[in-house]
Amino acid sequence: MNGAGQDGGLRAVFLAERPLFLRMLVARLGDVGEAEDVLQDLWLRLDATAVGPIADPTAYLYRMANNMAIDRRRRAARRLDRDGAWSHSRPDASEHPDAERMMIARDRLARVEAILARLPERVATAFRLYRFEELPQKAIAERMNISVSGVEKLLYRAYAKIHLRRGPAGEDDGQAVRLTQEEDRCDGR
Amino acid sequence: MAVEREDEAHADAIDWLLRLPTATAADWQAFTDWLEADEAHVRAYDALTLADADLDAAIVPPDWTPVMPAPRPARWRNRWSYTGAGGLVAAGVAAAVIVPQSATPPVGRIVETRAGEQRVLRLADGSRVAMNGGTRLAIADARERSVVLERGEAVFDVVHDEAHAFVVRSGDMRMQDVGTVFDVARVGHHLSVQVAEGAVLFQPQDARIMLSAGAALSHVDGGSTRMSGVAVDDVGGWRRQRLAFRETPVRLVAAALERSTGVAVTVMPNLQEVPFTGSIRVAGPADRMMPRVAALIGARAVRNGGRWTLVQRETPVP
Repeated sequence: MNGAGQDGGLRAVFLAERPLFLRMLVARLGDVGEAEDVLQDLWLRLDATAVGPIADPTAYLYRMANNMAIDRRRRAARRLDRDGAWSHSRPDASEHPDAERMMIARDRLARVEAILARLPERVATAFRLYRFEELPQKAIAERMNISVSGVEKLLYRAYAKIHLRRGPAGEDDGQAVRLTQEEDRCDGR
Repeated sequence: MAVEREDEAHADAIDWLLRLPTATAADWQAFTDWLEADEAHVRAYDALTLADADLDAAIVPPDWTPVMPAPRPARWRNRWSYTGAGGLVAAGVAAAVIVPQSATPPVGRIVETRAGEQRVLRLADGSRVAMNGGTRLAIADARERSVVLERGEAVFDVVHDEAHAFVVRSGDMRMQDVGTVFDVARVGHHLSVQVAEGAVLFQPQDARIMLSAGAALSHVDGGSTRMSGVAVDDVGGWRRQRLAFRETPVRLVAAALERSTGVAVTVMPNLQEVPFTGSIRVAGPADRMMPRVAALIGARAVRNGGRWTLVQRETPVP
């Protein structure tokens, strides 16, 4: 194994804080067995994952656990779609995008783009930088010359528009509207 | 009122989605409390993360599994920018261009390495090509500055010459370098490209995708393309006896092991497409290394004479 102190440190943190991660995963997945599975996988990955210095190992492990939980939920969702076992001996059609899948993906992107086009420029810009360029919020703040909390508010508005279920009669939710006024106050340098 | 409770849960879920990437341990505990407080919170967060992850498929058509952002340091990042004009375009200066190729390139010298053997070529123009094991390159004459990767893997560190582009071809793809360091690997019909420095512009049929340092691309001849990220330090890690993978099907992990160590590895059909994320140190004798690798993949390594087979854990030894 690699004897880097950092990895040993990460494993030690994992063992010390395991109950915390388990509690989060049980709440997240609603199933103790699934939560244990995720932690087992996570432990095995720690064995080999080479990482640089980590400022907050507990938060890092939480993040890993949460990502693995999302991964698991996505596989479950795909399984429901396909109604079959996920480790097929032959790659499943749904995992190989044919023209139809490509089209669905493009439609989805087009839908997001259409929503972005109707939003204020800064909201759309912040979202593109965050979601398509995967810049951290801090970097977006620097690039757009606003505060990090300003970026968070812009992103909130984009996410609310793209993902929030509409209220009755398809009106905006009050939160996003409220934020508009707030954000104008908070965008000060 | 129920609708209000749902709406509030969804609003909170967005807040958490935006906060968690930079959350402290205390924030994570608060997040746990929030999940435990109300079943509606769990449903809202779950639905939001699934919908958000689906965007990955829209941005990048996945070819075997959705791209899961791993927890990553800030240096590990895909930089693409989207234009309304219908494609992803270069943010900054594109340093290599990959386009599907049609013409058959001229072939000069053939250089081959056996599995487990590494070799560094210095080309006439000063460019360096580090060849991994099990690799076959066809090099046109020096004036052409063009190389065909027939199989295997190599890291290209190219001397930039504005007047004479350096071209790497493989299968139906052509990569044109304008001053970058990148790793190209071919296994059968599958091509993978990882960028350590500079950038690559990749052009399948009607899209244009920007790959810059820290980006990885996976392409099947005549078929799908998937993008993901790679830690810049991991590109060409085989040169330092470390192989890093993100969401890579086990069959490709096995091919990489075989190239880099010379150990022949077979993968049982039911494991072939299982995605693996992690980093493997390829050193020491095979009978020490293979069980370790198998444990990481969640499989068992069975030895048969000189060959190794990766089988599912529960499978009894034949």
